[in-house]
Amino acid sequence: MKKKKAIIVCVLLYGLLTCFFYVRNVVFAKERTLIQHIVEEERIESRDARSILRAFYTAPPVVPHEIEMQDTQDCLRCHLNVTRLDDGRVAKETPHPQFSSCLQCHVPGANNEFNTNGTSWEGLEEPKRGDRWATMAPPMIPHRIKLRENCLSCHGSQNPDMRLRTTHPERTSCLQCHVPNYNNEFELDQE
Amino acid sequence: MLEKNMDRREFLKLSAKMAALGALTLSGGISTLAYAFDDESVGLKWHKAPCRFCGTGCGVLVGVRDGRVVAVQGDRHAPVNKGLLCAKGYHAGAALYGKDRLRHPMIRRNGKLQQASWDEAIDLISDKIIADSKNFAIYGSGQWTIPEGYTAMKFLKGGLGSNEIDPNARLCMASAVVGFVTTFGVDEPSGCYDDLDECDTVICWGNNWAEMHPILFSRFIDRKQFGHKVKMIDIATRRTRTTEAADYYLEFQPQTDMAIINGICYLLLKRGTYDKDFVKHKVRFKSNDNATITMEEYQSFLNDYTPEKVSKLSGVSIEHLNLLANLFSDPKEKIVSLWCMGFNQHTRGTAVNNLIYNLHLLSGKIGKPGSTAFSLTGQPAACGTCREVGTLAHALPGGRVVKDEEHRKDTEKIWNLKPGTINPKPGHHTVAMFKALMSGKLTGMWVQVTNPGQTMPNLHDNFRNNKQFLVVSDVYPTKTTELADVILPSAMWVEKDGLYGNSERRTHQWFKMINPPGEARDDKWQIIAVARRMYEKGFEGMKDKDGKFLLAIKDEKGNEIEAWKWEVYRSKNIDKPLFEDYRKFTTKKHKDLAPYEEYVKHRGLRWPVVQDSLGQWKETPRRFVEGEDPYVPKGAGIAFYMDKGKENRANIFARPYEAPPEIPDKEYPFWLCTGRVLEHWHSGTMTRRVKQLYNANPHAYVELNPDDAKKMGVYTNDKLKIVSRRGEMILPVSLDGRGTPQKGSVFVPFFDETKLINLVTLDAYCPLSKEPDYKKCAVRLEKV
Ligand code: SF4
Repeated sequence: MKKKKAIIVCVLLYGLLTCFFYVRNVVFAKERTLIQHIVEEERIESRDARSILRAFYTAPPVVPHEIEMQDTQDCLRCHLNVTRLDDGRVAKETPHPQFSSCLQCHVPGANNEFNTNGTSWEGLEEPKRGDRWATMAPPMIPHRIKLRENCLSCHGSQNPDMRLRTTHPERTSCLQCHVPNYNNEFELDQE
Repeated sequence: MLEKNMDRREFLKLSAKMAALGALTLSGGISTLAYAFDDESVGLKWHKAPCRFCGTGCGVLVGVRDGRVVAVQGDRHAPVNKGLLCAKGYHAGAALYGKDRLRHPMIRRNGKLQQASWDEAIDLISDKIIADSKNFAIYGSGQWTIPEGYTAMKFLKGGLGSNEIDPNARLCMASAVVGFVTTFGVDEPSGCYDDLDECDTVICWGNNWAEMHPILFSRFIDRKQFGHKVKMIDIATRRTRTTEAADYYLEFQPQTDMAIINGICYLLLKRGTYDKDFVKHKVRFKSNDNATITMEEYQSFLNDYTPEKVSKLSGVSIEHLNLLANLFSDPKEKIVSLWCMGFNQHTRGTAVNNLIYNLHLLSGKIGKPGSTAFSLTGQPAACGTCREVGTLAHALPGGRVVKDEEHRKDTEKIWNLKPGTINPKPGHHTVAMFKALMSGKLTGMWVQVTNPGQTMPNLHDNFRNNKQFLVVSDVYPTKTTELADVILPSAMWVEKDGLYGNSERRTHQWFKMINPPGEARDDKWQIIAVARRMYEKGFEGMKDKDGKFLLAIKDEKGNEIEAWKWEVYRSKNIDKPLFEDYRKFTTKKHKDLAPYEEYVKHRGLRWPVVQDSLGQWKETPRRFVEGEDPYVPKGAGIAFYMDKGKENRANIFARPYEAPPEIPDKEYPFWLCTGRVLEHWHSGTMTRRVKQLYNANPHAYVELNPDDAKKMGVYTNDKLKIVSRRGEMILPVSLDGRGTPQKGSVFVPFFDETKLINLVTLDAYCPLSKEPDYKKCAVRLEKV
């Protein structure tokens, strides 16, 4: 008799648990996916806004504003740290302060005379969000790290683009949890 | 089983997760498992190549997906650039995809260019050449790959029995070549880029390397970021981005660079602070006309160059002259001198190249880590192809010359030619070649990989009046194709196999990665196909000693490859047999190259590349230096072993200052200097078809000194007409832009095909190197 009771309790418990997990996994997950989806769309938007400045993913972005002076020191005056200008614009911090000849890679791009129909160039797209192993796992770094050694220049709490900010700027050893997934930073494939 | 059912994508995803897990649990750094789950990167492959543009020769990785180039990045294993590129290098891939790429051969009929087949075009060209083969010229380029230049050379010098071949490199580094050959007995820099990592001081002689060789500039200037105590001295006629980063700026009057260097040598000798031991054992003195002189005679020649006199002539203060003399007097100071077009495009180009070596030889600042006189090159294979293969009117491969009977015999032997085939009379050098074409002395020309219609000096006289048969192989329509009778569409950069050789003697190899568009084909295939057609038509020159096809290419088994058939050519790597054939030439002047396979493995190797006792191929960072260069005898330390006097010495020449041929006067009161900008490569044919580069610098302009502008009452964007004795051009004014020329001089970049400044420039050239001076002529400015 006792045995029977125990079995019934077990079955009931199992049923309850199944229901619980069902609700948790399916119903909540659906909602979560929905939320994630919205966030994802926003991120793609922000990614597109950034990628406009590049010919392709591994290219240096062009300078989106007029440059009057042509001196590196002038670039660093605003871009060595995050600088808020009077007109509300925010100058981002350079992710690679070890290089000092800015204008050799970043060319002025405020001019817009080029007739885009004149080229059939289609560059490599920016990567999407970093994947996670499981919900609670830290997302992987979806982009390469070369020339982006200073993570906080984009993901720090100073970035005007909220969508890129980290939720935990106090943890400074980023690579300890977030691993890059384009390993070897795109290496030679030729044997 | 599990893995079998998984597609690649899922497998990659899984392995990444494992990697993540591993990283988490071991709190490890960067995992080494490959991972790529983004759709974009699936199917993406990275291949190595040198950059298509300047002579720095950066290593790039080219990302290819679905038969198209989609990305370029700096190769961090490339010793030249260590992962960094300049804006041109990053956008090199986009330069392949301009909508107006030439896709089909065109032939001019009744004054109009019409699409034609390859067969028609080849037939027409071969007929025209056969009709007057001795007066048919090839005008090539420092952007030819090594096998391309070699093929063109063999075709012309071995097949047509003349020497009418010259490259655009004549306009770019001919003075450097003659400078090297006269001073050291052999061409090309003995130092290397590593010297920039070790020097204390860099002196830029009329050289704006911040824009022209950006990667070398940053390689040096970034050392400051790491706390190295380095300084840069900019000696120039125009303030540039280089000046911004320099510790000293010495402004001099055009052409007086010669006097400045003699002035420093004067101070070294007068103070007795030259390197006495070095001078005693490693150098000899020569007069201006190449007679050996004593040191005393040289010293008395220098008496004309007292600081007072030099300062008055050049505008450089005595204090600054002393500063330079002090640096060269200090035995501990490691100095690199850099120059490029400032010295080379000079009506005394050879002399001023000699002079800079004088200075480094007297002070012993050469052949030591961190001390060298380094001549930079403009084009990616100006060294590899033009100088080493020798696609010049007077040269034969591997440092040989047509005038030398032994050299001709060598070449005839390797090419299996009938004795006496190679003509001992040098052909026309570039300016003379175009003049001969204009006058009808040459009856036809084939232009490959260059754009003389925009880049020849004094364009009216040297290009525009052409009435002769003109074939142009190019990738886009240019100012040159406008006058062409036949246009051949070419493959470009990674659309073909290739090898380039950069400024520091480094030879790079790459494989074809994508197909050229439309019917475009490799430049060297075009030459092989024309040669074959001539052979089939019975043209004697296209037969070797045994009556076989001159440009026959054999595979490893010794079977002939029918390379003139495009279907065969495109399926094979022709570079390897051609390179192996060319290699035979390279040992004579100790410019030894390794087998092709070595270059496939490496990110370039610096010649001489010689096998060591273990059979390893070893490159030479610094030439003439014991322990680095295998040809230096043991115990010699530094030996200039290519010395023509067979004493292992270098020559110090007593070269006087000489005034330029055209100096501003009342009627034409301004100096005109022309040059490049960072974003554009030479005539802009490629870079102006890239959105980012175009927008960065869309049009040419004229830079003025603000004082002159004020006097004339002109402001930025006002229009000025620049008039010389040869032509005129209207340009918008740029003040306080990228550069500021000194008072009394103006600067115009030449990249813009809508504003041809070369209609204005002068075609006077150095009497020894025959390189014209694009940096100095007299102009008048008129407001419009
Ligand atoms: S420095 Fe020269 S070789 Fe290097 S990326 Fe720029 S253009 Fe190319």
